[in-house]
Amino acid sequence: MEFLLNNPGIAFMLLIVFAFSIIMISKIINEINFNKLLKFKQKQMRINTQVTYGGGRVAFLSLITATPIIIIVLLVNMTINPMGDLPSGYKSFNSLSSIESVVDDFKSKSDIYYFTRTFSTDDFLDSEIFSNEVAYTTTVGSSDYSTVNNQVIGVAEMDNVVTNGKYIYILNNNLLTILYAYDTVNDYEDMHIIKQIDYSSECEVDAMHPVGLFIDDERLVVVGNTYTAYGCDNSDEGFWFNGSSYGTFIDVYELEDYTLEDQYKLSGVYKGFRKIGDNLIAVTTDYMEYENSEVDVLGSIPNYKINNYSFDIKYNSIVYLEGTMPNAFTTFYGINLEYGSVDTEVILGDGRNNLYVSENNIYLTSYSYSFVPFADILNFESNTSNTKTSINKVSYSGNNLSVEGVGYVEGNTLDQFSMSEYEGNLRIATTKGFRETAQNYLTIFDSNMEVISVLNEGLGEERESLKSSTFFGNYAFVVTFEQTDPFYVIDLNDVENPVIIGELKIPGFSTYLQPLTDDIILGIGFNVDESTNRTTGIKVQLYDVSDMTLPVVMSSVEILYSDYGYSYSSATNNHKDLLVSLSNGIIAFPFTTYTYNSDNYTYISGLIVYNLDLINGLSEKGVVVHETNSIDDIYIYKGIYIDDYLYTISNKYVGVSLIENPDEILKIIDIQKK
Amino acid sequence: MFKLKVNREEHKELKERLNLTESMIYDYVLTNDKLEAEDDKVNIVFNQAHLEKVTKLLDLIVKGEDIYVIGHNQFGQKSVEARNFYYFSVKEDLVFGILNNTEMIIDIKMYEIEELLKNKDFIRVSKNTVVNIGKIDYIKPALNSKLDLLMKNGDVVEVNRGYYKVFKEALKL
Repeated sequence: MEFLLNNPGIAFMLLIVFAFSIIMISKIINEINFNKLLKFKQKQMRINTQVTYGGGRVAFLSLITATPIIIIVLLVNMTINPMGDLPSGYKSFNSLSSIESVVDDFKSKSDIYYFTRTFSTDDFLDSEIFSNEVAYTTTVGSSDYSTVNNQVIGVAEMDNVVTNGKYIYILNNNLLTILYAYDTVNDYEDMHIIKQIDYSSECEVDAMHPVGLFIDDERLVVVGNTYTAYGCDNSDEGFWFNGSSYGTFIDVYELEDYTLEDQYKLSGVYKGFRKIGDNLIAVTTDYMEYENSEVDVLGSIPNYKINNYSFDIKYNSIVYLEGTMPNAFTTFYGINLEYGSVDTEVILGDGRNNLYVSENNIYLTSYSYSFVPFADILNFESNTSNTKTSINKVSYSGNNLSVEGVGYVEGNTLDQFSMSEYEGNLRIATTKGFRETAQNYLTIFDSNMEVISVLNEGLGEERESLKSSTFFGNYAFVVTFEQTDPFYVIDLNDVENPVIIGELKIPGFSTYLQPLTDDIILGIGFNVDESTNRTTGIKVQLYDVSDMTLPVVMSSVEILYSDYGYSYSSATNNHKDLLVSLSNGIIAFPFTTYTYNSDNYTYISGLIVYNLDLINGLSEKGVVVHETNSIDDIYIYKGIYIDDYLYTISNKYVGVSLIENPDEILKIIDIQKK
Repeated sequence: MFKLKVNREEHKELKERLNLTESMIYDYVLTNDKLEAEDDKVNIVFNQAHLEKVTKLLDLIVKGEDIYVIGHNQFGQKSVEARNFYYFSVKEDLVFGILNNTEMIIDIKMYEIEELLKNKDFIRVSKNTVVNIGKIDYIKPALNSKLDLLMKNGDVVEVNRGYYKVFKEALKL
C-alpha cells in the first residue's frame, strides 16, 4: 500500500487495470454461461449442438484480460527493481518503512550514529545586480590563458576565479565580478568591471552563497550553497545559532548577456562538482533530520527543483550499501546544462570522504562498519569490529548515471589525489591507523571493483602516514611522513604485482604532487626541522624521476618562517591555487606571512612567482603585492595569466603585471562592491 | 422432459444413441426394464433392437409436427418447413425469412409468425426480428445488456435490451 501511495501513477493504472479486469472477467463468465445454456437448450431440442466459434473466442478474451495484468506486474517489478541487476553489495528499497528499518537496525547494532541538523528549503533567491552592461563583442581575447588546475584532463573542477582569455570571473565574499580583462588591441589597458552580481544576503532564508564557477563557450555556471548564518536576528524567536548548510544551488548564466538561463536547487549539502562538456555532475548529502531524538527519514529524502519545478526522489531509486552508516542520503546528480535534464542515483549513507571523477566514472569513498555478532545483546563495550573505506563507483555517460559497484580497502584516503583511474582500473592509496599503528596501502581494482592487488609492504616507515600521492600513467608517486619525507616511485605496469622501484628520503614533506613532464614531479609542502620535528617554512621541490629507480630532488626553494611568525599558502591544500605554466616557464601561488613583535604583527600577502626551468630548476622571479603598509589585510588568493600578463586577485583588487616582471603592477582596479 | 432408467453400465451409451437429454422434471420414462416403469408417467419400454424407432419417436415428441411457411423470392413461391429458417426479419414493411444462403418474402405479419412458431423454439429478440434458437451458433454478450447472436449461416442478429431477459429465460426452459 505504501508503495502505491508513493507511486500514484502506478496506483491509478492498477485501478484502471483492476476495473478492466473485473469487467472482462464478468463478460467472459456471462458469455460462457449463455453459450452453455444455448448448448443445453439445443440438445434438448435434439439438434446438433457443435459450436464452431466458441473455444478460440474465450481464449482470445482471456488473453485480452491477462495482457494488462501482465504488463502492470512487469511495470511494478521494474519500478521496484529499477536497476535491473543491482550490483552486489547494494540493497534496494520499495517503501519508506524499508528505509527506516535499515536506520533502526544500524542504530541498534552500532554504538555510534551521527546526526547533523539540516533544514528544508523552499524559494529561489533574488540576486541584486549592479553596474551597467556594456557589450564588448567586437574585440577578441587571447587564446593563451590559464585554466583551472584540474586533476583529470576534460573533467573541470570549480574555482573561485576563471577566465576565457578575455573576461575574468571572480568570486569574492558573495560577490561575482565579471571583469573585462584583455583584448588583442589594447592588451590589459581597457580592464574594467562589466557587471557585478551580489549574492550577499546573509540572513535571508534560502539565500545563495556562491562557492565556485565553471565557464565554457556558452555559459557561466555559478555553484553555491545556502545556510543559516550565525547570529541572524529572527525577531520572534531570538537568534538562530546555526551555521549548517542545507541546500545546493546552481545558477546557469548565458555568457552573451549574463541573463539567468536556469536555476537548479538541490536539497543536500554539496560534496563536489565536476563539469564535463555540457554536463554537470553534482554530489550532495542530505543528512537525516531528527525530531525529538527520532530520525525523520521521510523529511530527509532528497529532492530537487529545476526553475522552481519540484522533483522528488522515489524510494525505489535509493540503494543502500550494507555496513555504511545510514545517517544521510548521498545523491549523484547528472545535469545536462543544455537541455535542463537531470538524472540521479541515490545511496543511503553519507559519502563524507573523498570524491574523484575520472573521464567515465565517479568514485566516492565512505566508511563501512563491521559489527561483532550479537554485541548489542552481549553488551560489549564496542560492537564495531572493523572499519574499512568503501568506494562507490557510479558511471556516467553524458548526464546518465548508473551505480556500478563497490570496492573495499583498509584505511582512509587522504584526498581526491589518492585515487586515479587508468585503463579501467582504479588505483587508490590509503593509510590505516595513526602513529604506532600507521600502515599504508596501495590497492588496484579492476573495472568491476574487484581487488587485483594490494601493496602494503615497504610503503612508509614505522609511524609514517600518507601525506600526498599522485599517479602518472603506470606509475604512482607517494609521499609518507613522520620525520623525513620518503618519496616512493611505484611501478604499476604489472597490475597484479605493483612494486616500489625507487625511494628518496629528504627532510620535510610534500602535501601535493603534480607531474609536470614524464621526468619531473612538482611537490609543494613544508620543510621540517628534524631536531624539533616542527615545520620551518613552505617548500617547493622538483623531483627528477627520469630514472624511476633513483628519484632525486633537482631543485628546491623555500619560504622560511621568520623568527616570530609563520607562513601559509593555500596551494599546500588546494591544487587550484597553484598556477603552473610550462609555456611561460613559471609556477606561482599565493602566500601569507605573519611576523609578530611585542605589540603588533606584520601581515604580508602576495603571489610568489618562480621561474620554472626544467634544466636549471626553480628560482624566484618576483612577488606581487597589492598594497604595502595597508591597514586592511589585503589577501591575494589567486594568480592567473592571459597572454603575457599575470593577473592577481585579492579581496580588494585585481592587478595586472607582465609575467616577465611580476613585481611591477601595470594597472590595478578596485573590485569591491560598488 | 425425459428420464432414462437403464442400468449404470449402459446408461451413457444409450443416452448418446438416443440423442437424449434428461431433466429433473419429466413426463416420459424410457427404460429397457418394464419393472422400472412409473405409474404416473408416460412409459416407453424398449429393447436394444428398437433404438432407431425410439429415436424417431422422441424426435416426434420433441419437435412435434412440421409446420410449413409459404414464402416467395425471384425463383418463385415455395413452402419451407419452419425449422429451416434461421430468423425472420422486417425490412421496409416486408417480412423476410432468412434461410442458409437465401431469403424469402413471407406474406404473413411478424406477430403471426411469432404466434405460429413460439412452440418451435422461435423467439422474438427485437421489434423486427424473430430468431430460431436452434440455428444460433454462438452468443456474444455486449457490454450494454445486449447480445449478439452469431447464426450458423454467419449472420449476426442483435438481441435488444428489452428482450434480453425473455431470451435468457427461453434458453433456460
